[in-house]
Amino acid sequence: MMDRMARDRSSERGGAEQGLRIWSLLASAALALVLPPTGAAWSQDKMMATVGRIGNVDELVTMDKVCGAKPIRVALVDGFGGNSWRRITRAEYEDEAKKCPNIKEVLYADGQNNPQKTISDIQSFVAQGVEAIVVFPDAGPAMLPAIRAAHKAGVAIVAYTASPGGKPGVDYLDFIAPNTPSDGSTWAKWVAKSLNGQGKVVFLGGTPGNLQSQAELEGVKKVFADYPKIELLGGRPVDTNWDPAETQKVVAGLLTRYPEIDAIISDYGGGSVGGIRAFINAKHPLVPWAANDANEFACLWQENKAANPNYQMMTVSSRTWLVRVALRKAVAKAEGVEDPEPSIVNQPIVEDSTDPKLPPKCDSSLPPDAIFSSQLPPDKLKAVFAQ
Amino acid sequence: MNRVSDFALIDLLQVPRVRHARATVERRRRGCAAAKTQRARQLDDLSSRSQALLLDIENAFGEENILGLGRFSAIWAATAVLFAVSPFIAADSLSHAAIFSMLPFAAILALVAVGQTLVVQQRGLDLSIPGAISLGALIVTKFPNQADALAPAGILLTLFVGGFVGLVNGLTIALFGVAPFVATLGVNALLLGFVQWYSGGSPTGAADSLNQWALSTLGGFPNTVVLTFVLIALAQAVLLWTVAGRRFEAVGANPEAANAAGIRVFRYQVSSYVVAGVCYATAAILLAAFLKTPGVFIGDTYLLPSVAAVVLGGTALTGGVGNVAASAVAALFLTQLGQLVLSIGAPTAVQLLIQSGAIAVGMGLREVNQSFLPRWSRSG
Repeated sequence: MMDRMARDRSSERGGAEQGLRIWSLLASAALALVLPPTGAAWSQDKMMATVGRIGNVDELVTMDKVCGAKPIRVALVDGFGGNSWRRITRAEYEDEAKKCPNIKEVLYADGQNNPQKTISDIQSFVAQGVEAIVVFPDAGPAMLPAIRAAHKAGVAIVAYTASPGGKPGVDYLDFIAPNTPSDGSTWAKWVAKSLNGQGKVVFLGGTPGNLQSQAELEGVKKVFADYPKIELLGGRPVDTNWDPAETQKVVAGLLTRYPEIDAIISDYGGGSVGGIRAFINAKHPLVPWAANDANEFACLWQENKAANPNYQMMTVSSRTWLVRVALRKAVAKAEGVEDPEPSIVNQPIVEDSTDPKLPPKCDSSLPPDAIFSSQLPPDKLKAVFAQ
Repeated sequence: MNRVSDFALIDLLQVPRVRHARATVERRRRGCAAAKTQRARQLDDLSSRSQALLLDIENAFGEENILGLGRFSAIWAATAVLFAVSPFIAADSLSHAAIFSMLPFAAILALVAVGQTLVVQQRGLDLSIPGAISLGALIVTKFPNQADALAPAGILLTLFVGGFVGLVNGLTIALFGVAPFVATLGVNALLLGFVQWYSGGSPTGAADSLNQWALSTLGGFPNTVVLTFVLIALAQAVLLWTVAGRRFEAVGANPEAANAAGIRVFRYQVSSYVVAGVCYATAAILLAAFLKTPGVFIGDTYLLPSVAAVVLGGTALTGGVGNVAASAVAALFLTQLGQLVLSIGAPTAVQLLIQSGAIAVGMGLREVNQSFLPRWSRSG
């Protein structure tokens, strides 16, 4: 999900319209020959082998535990800063940093999807003597030399969501990420419960061959192994390019291909809205749908639940708050304080239409891709989108 | 159809030749032995250029393939074949739901392809499509900001901005002589920058009334499709059966000759970009209406398919000869092909291979028809 947000623009660019898939095919073949693995591929690969501890959200601590007393400056180096997820993330980072009175400066740099600029952003902050840096290394391993140099220069540098490769603890302080297979398991368990252990399920993934969807699929399959009467249609993630328009076409195709679809698991709630519209346009009754939280995903459920008795939804967090964990780790190190938090976080369910305690959250005054699982207070979340 | 309109064009082109003949006769009558005056030389020049233009046009319309189809008919045949085989490839691919999921996307791509066709006919190439569509979809959603009352104003503003973007493109190219792909690429970058700034990276939902309109049907067809059909039929009629339309084609085929024939080349060249800009804006409005929440850079996926539709439709990339209806049918072909491979449920790699193969065959058929096969069939 983060990798999707990371690559938001480039994946949309790459997602060529149906007719000209050959262009992108050729282009990707050419790229595959000359480029190292992308951040998306690399991050999931390394994520599993990280030295960071896996833990639950209840093991996270508050900022005041790691503030220390020494006056420091912190910086967020974002590989790309131009979408809703990134803007919420930046606001969360600034919100968290302001909780420590001894953090004198809260700096930010937008890499504009340009690895070269992101590298120079890191180098510039190191040169300025910033003590703690949090980085979203969109370009993956291409960022490693700059990150390693910062680490060697004694800066507390923490990567989050996309891995730069290398070794956490050796090349940089730590790598903070969600536990991807556990997301898959969480979705699959909920779907199995909704279907009473019987039915046909589609798993909507992202870009072709991305390792994030593959890792989630592992979690899904592990759970479904206990339910012989649940069939995962196609047996693999269906590519949607994490794009709502593409998802709409893809799901329309799936509805043609499979006469019976009983539930959907998707690793992008913001893209799933296209799939839901495909169901509505095809006059197909909506089915239980598991994803991660997005404003419009919940709004569509509220609009259509009355007409579709079987339609339920569940989401895990879109985890914009992960940047807070990364910042705490970096600040703790710079202050010489111990931070016991896990690096790889198992995510809880944040919305579940079958559970009155976790009602879906919709606010049509905010953009369709606003994220309510953010830890920003409501007024600050609104302020992010007030231009 | 073509014949009739060609005669109109030929009539038009007769004018300078007749003038030339008269001038010659006049000179001889006066017994003027002096060398041709400047004016007469110009007329001579005009005449020969007009001949060249005629030759261009004749060549273009003279091309026929082995099926006896004109260059624009091949895509109709290919599309018919595609729909005929669809049920055998994916059983339900011609079901009501499948067709009506596909048609709006085809309609939107068709409008974009029509815009690109007009530009290509004027020997141009429009690379500002991603920016123009993204901007159009953004304005039509962000300006009303979900308020139904403001939706009509949002639509008008979007159309105006689309036309204005085209005007900037057209003037840069026709007035300053900048190469079309350079000018439109630059404008595209400007537009994408503006889109990023205006949206802040967050999309906005379309007004409910607009969304409801797009999902409603008229005579059993989605409104988006009906509107697109009407617009394209109109464009086709104007291009084929009006003097302005024929002149438009003449300017594309040979701007110098058209200029010599007294056609205001500049106007036609600029207007092609303006009309194309309005086409993209219309497509963006339909896209926003249909998808409800268009992504911020929704236009990115339309550039290459628009060029593919133009080429598959039979419009010459060298300019002049073109047919917007054929481009629209090519858009339908590409969209149905895409939906068909999705319906097979094959992995993305296989889908890509099937799509590219089908396009290669479609393109190849026409090329083969025009070169190898006619000779071979004639000799046989």
